[in-house]
Amino acid sequence: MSLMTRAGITARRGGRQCGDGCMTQLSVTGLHKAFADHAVLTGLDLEVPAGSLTAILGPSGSGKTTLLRVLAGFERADAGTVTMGGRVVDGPSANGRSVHVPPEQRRIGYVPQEGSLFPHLTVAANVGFGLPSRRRGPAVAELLEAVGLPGLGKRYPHQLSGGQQQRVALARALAIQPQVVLLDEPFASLDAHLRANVRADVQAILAQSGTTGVLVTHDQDEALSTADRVAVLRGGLIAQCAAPQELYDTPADADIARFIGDANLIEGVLDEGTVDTILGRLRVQTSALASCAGAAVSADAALPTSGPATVLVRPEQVELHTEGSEGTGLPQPADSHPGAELTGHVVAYGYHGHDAVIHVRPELGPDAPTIIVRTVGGHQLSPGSAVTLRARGPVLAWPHQ
Amino acid sequence: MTSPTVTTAPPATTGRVAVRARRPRLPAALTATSLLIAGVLALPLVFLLIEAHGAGTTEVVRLIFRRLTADLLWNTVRLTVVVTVLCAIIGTAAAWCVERTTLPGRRVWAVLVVVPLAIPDFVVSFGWASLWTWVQGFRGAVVVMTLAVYPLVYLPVAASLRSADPGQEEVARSLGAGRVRTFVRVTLAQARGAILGGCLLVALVLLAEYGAFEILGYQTFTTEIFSEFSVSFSVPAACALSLVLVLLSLLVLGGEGMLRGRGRVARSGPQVPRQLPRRRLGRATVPVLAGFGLLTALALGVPVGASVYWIFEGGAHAVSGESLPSAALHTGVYAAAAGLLDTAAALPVALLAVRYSGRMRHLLERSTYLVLAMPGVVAAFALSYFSERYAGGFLYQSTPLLVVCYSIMFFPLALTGVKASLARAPASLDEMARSLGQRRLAVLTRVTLRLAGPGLAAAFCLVFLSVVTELTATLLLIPTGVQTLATQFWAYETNLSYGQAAPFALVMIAVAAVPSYVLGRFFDRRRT
Repeated sequence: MSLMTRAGITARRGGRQCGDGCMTQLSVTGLHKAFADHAVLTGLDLEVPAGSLTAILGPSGSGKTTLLRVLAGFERADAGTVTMGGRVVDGPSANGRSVHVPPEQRRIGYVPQEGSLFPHLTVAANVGFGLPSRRRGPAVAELLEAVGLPGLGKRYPHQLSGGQQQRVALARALAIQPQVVLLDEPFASLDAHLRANVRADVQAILAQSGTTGVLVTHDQDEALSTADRVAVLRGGLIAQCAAPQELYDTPADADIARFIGDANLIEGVLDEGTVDTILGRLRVQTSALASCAGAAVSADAALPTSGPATVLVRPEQVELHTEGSEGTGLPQPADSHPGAELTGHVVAYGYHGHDAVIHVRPELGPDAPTIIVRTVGGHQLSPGSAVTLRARGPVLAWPHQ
Repeated sequence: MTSPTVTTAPPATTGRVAVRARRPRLPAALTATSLLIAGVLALPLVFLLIEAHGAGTTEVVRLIFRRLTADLLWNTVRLTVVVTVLCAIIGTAAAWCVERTTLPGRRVWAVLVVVPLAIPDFVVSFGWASLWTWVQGFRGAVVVMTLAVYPLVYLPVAASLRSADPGQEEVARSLGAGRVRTFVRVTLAQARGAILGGCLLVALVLLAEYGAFEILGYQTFTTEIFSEFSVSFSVPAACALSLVLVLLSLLVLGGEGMLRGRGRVARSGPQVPRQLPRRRLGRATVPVLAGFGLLTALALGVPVGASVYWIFEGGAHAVSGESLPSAALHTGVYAAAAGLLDTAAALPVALLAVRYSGRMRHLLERSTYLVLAMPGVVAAFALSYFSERYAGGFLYQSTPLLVVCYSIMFFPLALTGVKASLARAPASLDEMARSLGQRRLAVLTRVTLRLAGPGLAAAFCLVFLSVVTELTATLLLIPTGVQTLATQFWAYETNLSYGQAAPFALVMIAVAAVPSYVLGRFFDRRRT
């Protein structure tokens, strides 16, 4: 497919500018951005490897869109540096002068949430907007083919469905052979079924063309399932950056654990590689975390190895038994370390088809936290049913400071 | 111990960088142009103050605090209050019937109810007063002005009812509020801003009206300023009364701002273009239809009918004047010039208002408010006297001065239209175009102006329409020996040559109706 070839050239070009051995397409250091007196980004660092799709994940209002707008050049950074393909586009350059490359010279493909197609132009004219007129014809046909909309060039944006509009917006962004494609919650306005399809298509198109992508989203599901790397944006900084599974398995702190999927955060007491909780004595997991700023951040040796701690137990790490039944939890790895049994009763039962999420109140008195359990299939449980829980390690624990 | 922990403290870079907190920068050229325009807009007021100063402060104070001022104040205020209230009732009721009920022939009524806007107030006044002698004084002024200006309430209220969130009414009903309670607490509350906005326009028109009141023999500030200046040549008196009139207009503006400020219409959720099921009129159909028929007959039928009647019955008069085509040409040229000038001038100000925020934007919006508070007679008087007395006759009674005066008077209209049109060309599309490699100028021509085009045409039409039906400032500033449709009509009318005046009235209506139709089409497209 010729789109792949053309975009492949782009990717190589980006790599060449970067110099030998450097695979970073986009790099941000110490980025500050404030509006009036409200600080939005406070010294953010981010590295996006060439050819990857990196998701910026954060709740609404966390500054995701501001970051994207600074990358695109619509906003100017208050401080810090943005480098694309080895060239400083915002911030002090090598000779000390302040640089701000205007958006039209950055070669960034921007796909906003609403698509922002030009309503007065046909689909073909939209896709060809950024190309010199003599090169439009064949390129536009190719791009429409690539995004799965051949033959729709003569339509106007309002004659397209939401998903089609997003594909056109992507084709328009890819037309200029961008160094980086910025996707600002591009799937948020689509309904659930369509969203999954368009998401998968976009992922495939970007991967095929080898284009570097930055996807901004507040949907952790979307981030985990679409991106190669996920950067959690919090308080104007990247709180953690990791591959999706790493992020889920070893979140950097309790807040991130809660933000990425369901989490039981219970109190415990650390003691030499294990932790004592209401679910018994569980093994504590070891890991080293890589940050998106490049340097690996290892477990801090100076932290206390004993004493009170907050413990993360994922709902699928808890097995649930009813009277006279086998465990209905997810299959556990052989080397897991089961804790003690905990009895309780069901307070809420949420059925999701592929699994069920059950909230259990332990019989330990009113102060005991409700435990969330995820089971596969299993039987219908009504509130009040007596159950037994058993957790399997290893678990994560954060000592109290 | 192996608890994985990552600190979220900012990286070491924060220490060395000085953070430049930056506001979104206003483009210098845009700001400078806008300031220049604001300066020109403020000219009449500045001139007025200079002239008042020249006339002597004690003299002006003496002229303000006398019996005549009190009489004029009473006349002006009571008429403004009564007509504004009547217009609010008629305009809102008509809008509700057309937009929310099963009224037969809604589409036709929607047009007929608005057409009176294209008929100059002084033509409505002429139509009534030339047919019936009882139409004069306060009573006549109430009838004529209500029929002439109620569309100013109808239009915004109809638009607001059309776009209001239908869910709110349904929720109110489900919460146990009856029909009447729902209408008052939800429907009217939703349309409140529109009703107030319409009333503001009505009040400002009444404060500025000259021709209609002159025909009816009803004395207000505007008619008195006009005669003090052009008949008695008493500049200090005209100055003093102008100051009071401007103050009165500012009070109206301030009052509207205060009332509007308290209530805000919030709308949450997706903007689904859903319509409420229309209320069935049932047995009320016939009376409501009769009401619409009567309104159309009075507001549209009488002025048009009277003009046609006088063409046939007016007989031959010996009064001579400019020919119809020549007057129409002058009117068209002036109106087109003012329309172009205003649309072009409103563009930078509207760009600032729509795309940027901050103190500068606020200042500019305030300065357009000042223009609203300046009735045409005051603007014309200030410009004309200043050019004659202080500028050595520079541009005095010249075409440029007249066009500039029109442009100042109708700038707020153009600004409204241009702002609405720029809202159709959101900044996000500009940014999109820039990220696709287009420079600022290319973005302007390939995206912004293409999208804003229809709205700019609407702004032009709005100004064009207003200039065609303008009389007061035209009479004061028109170059010697030139006549427009309005002034020639006026010359015949004051000579009681109704037969010769009537064709000018009809042509004015026809000329003004074209841009009205274009405007209607433009605002109607928003439905979809």
